[in-house]
Amino acid sequence: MISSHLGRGKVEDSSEDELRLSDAVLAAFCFQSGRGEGKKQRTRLRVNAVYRAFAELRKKYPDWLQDMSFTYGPADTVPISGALEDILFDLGASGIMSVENPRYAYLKIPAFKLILIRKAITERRNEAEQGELRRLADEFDQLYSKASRKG
Amino acid sequence: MPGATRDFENRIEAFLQELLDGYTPLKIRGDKIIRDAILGHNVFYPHEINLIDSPLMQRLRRVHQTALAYLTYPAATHTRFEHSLGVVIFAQKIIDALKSSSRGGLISDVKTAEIRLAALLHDCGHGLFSHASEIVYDEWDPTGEIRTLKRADPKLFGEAEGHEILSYYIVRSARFRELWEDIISKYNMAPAKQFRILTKVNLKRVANMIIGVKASSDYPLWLSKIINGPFDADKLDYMGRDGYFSGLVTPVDTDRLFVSLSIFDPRGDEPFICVDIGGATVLEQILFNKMLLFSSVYNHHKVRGSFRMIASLLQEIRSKQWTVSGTRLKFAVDFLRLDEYDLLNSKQVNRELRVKVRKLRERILVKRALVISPQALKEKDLVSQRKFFELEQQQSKKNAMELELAQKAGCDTVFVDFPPRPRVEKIGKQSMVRLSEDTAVPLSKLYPASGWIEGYSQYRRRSYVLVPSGYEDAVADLALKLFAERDIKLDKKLCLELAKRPRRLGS
Repeated sequence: MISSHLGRGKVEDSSEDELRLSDAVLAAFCFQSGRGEGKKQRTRLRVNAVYRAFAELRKKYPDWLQDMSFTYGPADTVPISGALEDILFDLGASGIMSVENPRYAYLKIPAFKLILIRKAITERRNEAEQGELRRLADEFDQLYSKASRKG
Repeated sequence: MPGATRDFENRIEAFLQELLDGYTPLKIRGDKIIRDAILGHNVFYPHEINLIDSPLMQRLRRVHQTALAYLTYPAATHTRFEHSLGVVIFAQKIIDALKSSSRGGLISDVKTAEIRLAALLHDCGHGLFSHASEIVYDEWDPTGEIRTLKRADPKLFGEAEGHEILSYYIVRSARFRELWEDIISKYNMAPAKQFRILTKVNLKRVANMIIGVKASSDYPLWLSKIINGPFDADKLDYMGRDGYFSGLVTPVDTDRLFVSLSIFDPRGDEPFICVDIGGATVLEQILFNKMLLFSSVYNHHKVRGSFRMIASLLQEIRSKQWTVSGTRLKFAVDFLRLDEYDLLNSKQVNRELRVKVRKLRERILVKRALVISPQALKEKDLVSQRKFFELEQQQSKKNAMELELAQKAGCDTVFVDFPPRPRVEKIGKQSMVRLSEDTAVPLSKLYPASGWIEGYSQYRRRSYVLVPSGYEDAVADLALKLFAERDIKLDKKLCLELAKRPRRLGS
């Protein structure tokens, strides 16, 4: 037995290029295609609204986002997903994103990073997948706008 | 997936038949006092003693709470058994606190008995080495039965952990009900009230409490949140207990918390547990201690090393269908058939297994070749940041890298380890603090606890490349090369310094 927890006899599994939860999160942040050419990209996103928007988005993409479950707290508190929390944490730890000091209420992604990540996703994904990602980003955009009014 | 659920239930039934075979509960004469190292003397009721004495709970004595962390923190030998008792004690304290506050009268004797049972049994689904076996049958098995159950019923299991799902099905099983009925039949001569309470206990409600969902349509959700919620009896116990036995100072001013608790229902439709403003500080302590436990204990490089070693060994036992003490690890419930004594004994017949077990018995653990902190990724190098992020998200890529490193270095094991992150959002955003008679807000509105997680992710986060002793230098060079080939440029000096390998810098 070489290496750790493999045991499955395969170096690469078949899901290598499948769209993952992290692709959905990155696409939601980077594509924003629904905002149109004239509109500014969002480089600041309210953390609570991101959770709320994804909780709604999950209902529209139950298969793709099936591993992003949410728990709902009392009195209209923010729905929380451990999987989403992990992805946001990893985006922070890798330096792609940060949370704005001192209120820690907003995620920040510089515009140049949004552009470069979008370019990288576009290069790696075929037309159909890009279409899916753009559709998801459009939905996210609308849900986010609605959610951000809630605070 | 009704078929998959039925198969799963059948396997649980078979496991319990085997486990409980020969166990006959005896009539216990009176309450018992159990002395806990942290929580002092506490009362347990006769029917609870029967459950505690049953093989279902006794096996938890052989499942350490923090897996092999005791190889790093020598006193961290506490088990799921005493933790389960601790959760009962904390659950009772929360019940008492709520009873003495407004609306507390709603917690009837039956509900109290059910909450205590949920507390006692909440971890009965833990396999050997706790989360180290859970990762094998859950996270590393994306098409396995636990994932299938979660996907089939995300409302029920979406956010539940693998062991919670096992506990849930155990408590709902026919064999467990049989045991329960056997136990309560011993007390039908007890004071009538006591017997009546026990006969009204509903095990389905107990199971629902374990996974933190509404126990039944006529039970408020907050009752389940005593066991599984933003701040629950489980967290109150494990944080203090893990801290205490690892020697870390993680005080939680629980007395202050309990006098702050009340049930709040401003709209008259959805009551929930909240703390008053004075108790908010205690919630902050809980959040802070969670971060501290992750950075100092759970994600300590040696603890991670032993965790990865035992998890990969369990994965190997499963994939190669080795037999350990007459058991094969095929399904999730099989990880409950074995305990740590079964695996860590020196008499394993399989030579390959014996060699690996010996390493754990003698604490021959993997060592750090590289340590990657967030600062090792350059601030402006987005390609590296993105590739590093992608690597972390994709198990197959990590597996491939481990395999390549091990092959090139000529050693049998390399771990590219990204330790788990402390999840704190639920505590921050769903714990409610009461400000006045008709206002309550989430803790995060009063104190931006997300700042701590941001600080942790930016400064305390560590990923590791772990290798057998003697291979550190070779693998460090190879790993840096492999990361570079994957467009991940790391600050070599920093990575080696953090791995305490600065001598390599000159070479």
